[in-house]
Amino acid sequence: MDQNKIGMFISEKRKELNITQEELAELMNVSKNAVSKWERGLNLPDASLMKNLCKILNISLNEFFNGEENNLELSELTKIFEKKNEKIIAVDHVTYKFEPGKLYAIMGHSGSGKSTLLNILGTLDKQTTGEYKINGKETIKLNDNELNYIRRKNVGFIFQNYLLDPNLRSYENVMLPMFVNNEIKKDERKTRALKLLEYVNLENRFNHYPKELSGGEQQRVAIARSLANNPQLIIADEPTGNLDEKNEKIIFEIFRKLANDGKLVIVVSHSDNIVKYADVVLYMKNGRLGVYNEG
Amino acid sequence: MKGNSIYEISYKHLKEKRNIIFSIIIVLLIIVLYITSTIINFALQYQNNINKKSLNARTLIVERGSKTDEELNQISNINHVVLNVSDKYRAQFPVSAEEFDEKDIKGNIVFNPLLINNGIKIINGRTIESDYEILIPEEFYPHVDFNDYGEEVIYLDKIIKGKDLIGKSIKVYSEREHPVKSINQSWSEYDELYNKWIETRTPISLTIVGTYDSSVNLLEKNTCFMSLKMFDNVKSDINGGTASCTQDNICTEEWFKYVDRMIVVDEYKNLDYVKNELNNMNFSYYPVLNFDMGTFKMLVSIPMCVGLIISIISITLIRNFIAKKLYNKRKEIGLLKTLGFDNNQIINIYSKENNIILSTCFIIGFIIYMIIVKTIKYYIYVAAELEYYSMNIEIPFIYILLLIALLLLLSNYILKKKIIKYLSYNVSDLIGDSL
Ligand SMILES: Nc1ncnc2c1ncn2[C@@H]1O[C@H](COP(=O)(O)OP(=O)(O)O)[C@@H](O)[C@H]1O
Ligand SMILES: [Mg+2]
Repeated sequence: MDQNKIGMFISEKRKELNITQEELAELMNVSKNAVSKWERGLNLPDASLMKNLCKILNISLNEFFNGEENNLELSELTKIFEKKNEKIIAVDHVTYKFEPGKLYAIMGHSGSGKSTLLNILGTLDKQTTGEYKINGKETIKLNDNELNYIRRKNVGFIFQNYLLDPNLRSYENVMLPMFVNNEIKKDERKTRALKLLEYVNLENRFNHYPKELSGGEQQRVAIARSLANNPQLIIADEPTGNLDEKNEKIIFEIFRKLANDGKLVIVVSHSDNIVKYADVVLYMKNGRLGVYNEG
Repeated sequence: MKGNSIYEISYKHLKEKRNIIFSIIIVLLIIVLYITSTIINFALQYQNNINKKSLNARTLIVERGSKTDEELNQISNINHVVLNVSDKYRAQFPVSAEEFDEKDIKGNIVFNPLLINNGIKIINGRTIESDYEILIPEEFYPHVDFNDYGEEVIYLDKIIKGKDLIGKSIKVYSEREHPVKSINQSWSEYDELYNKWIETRTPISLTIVGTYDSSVNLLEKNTCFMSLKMFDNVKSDINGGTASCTQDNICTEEWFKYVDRMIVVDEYKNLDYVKNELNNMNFSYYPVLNFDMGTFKMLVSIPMCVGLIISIISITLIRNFIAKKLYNKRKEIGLLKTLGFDNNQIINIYSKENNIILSTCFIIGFIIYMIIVKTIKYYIYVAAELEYYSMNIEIPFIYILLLIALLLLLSNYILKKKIIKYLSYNVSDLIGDSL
């Protein structure tokens, strides 16, 4: 959403609450002029003010930027693989709603259907039956172009084996998704990539090739890459499967930070340590999804 | 990387090691294809010349030995013999044509007699009808020049369109009255005589009436034709001479005239028949062009077969190479799909990379080919006993372009087919290790 729309959204929400610009300014401890500027789209509130503003207007940070509740809704979602007359029910009637700003951990034995579920959530695969809605849109009805668009703009993937392009430097790997996103101006792409590397504390490694980086560092580059187009949804399938505990901790902390910044983060992990960082811990068994621990 | 275009990704991929191996295969293939085409081109040109056009291939020289003129005239009775004349007509009549003198290069043309069946193809104007008329090549280069290696060089900008010269005339002087230095003459005496001759000689004016296609005839671009009669008139009968002195310093000199016969057979395929008849009649003879079609065919077919085999191997290699490369890159392809690249964008990235490699290989291959072809050319000419620079065997550049276009199309087709196959897979299968 651009600055104008955010301005209109603030103005709308303020009017819903029946408060004037002056009152809002007072509550926020800023000048009335500042509020007026926000609403006319001339300026954005500072990051420090943003949280306070969301609290006052009773909206989530994500809503603030996207204007609508951004969530994933699964109902009776089922995925069946058919192999030589043999039916494998990888995902079995899963009904669940993922909400933004939260870090979800999915645990479970190998073969329980976690990856299959993530692939469907990331629109890399389609369910056999049931419904999957992204922001209220049914994915099964979308064509290839629309799915590409969703992957480009809304989803960031992180894989166990990082999948970095060995011919590209760190910042170039991070730039990769921006090539197909015209909303990011061409001259801003490199700067943005460097900023994202800073976000994962790799600013001093920006010019290195993947083979010159440790596994943990490579995974952080991959995380930065997944953030390139500022997606709402981050999906990570066993991101720390190849990493030691120290690196695992760094990665989990980044996921926590992302959730705090309003992203919806879903992490499949075999590591018990994820529990300390997750808002919600889910588990899968034989394709069924259950809630282990919430809040 | 600036982030302007997806092709920046292709450029980055260029430095992969496997591309170097791929390039080497391609360069080899290109060179082999060029050379094979060159040889085929040469063979076709050459066969064409031998079978239909070249007079030399159908010409035998019959030595006089102890035979009389009457006996020699008998040769005309042999079937398929279409010409039986003095071997003088094999000689050439060089003329320093002042008409074509330029600041840095002198005019210089050579006359041949227009024998029957010379295989001359008139391009402009008409053929000779009177003795004072001549033919010149359509691409006329009335000069002779050699480089430091003794190779004949032609300055392309000095080639004249023969057509423009029709109606003009060229002055020539008969060689017959040309004074010959006798053995008792001093050089100064001879010079005096010579200069006097130069002053008093009368020019013969010959009119250009037509141009012929010199490219099909293996002829130099300064070779002109005059009538048999005029040739006889201007060309000296003396073929050479020797002088020998005794110990008492008494010297004798001996001048040779053209005494042998030049026999032309109607078609190349009848040459053996005529040779056989000549043997029966006890004549000794030798061919003008020592040409053996069998050897020639072998000479051409060996490189052709080798070229064909290497081409097939190379094309298979290219196919397998692309397939292997894309198999190794399946995760990369899968990744690009997860990042929201559409199918066309993914195909474009890889075909761009492929096209850059192929184009570069094409240029390198072409340079190497140019070096090799010089050597091959020499090998063919020497082996076939042809005059070194008398035929152009390089394949036309347009064929080279067609060849590379074909190669690009082929490899892009393979590439595209493979990528589409991978894109049809489930992304998670591509990224995982199940493939
Ligand atoms: N492409 C596929 N074709 C057939 N069966 C599959 C495919 N992908 C996964 N499966 C099966 O579905 C089940 C769940 O797999 P997966 O989601 O990878 O489990 P997890 O990620 O929890 O280990 C397994 O039994 C697996 O064999
Ligand atoms: Mg898995």
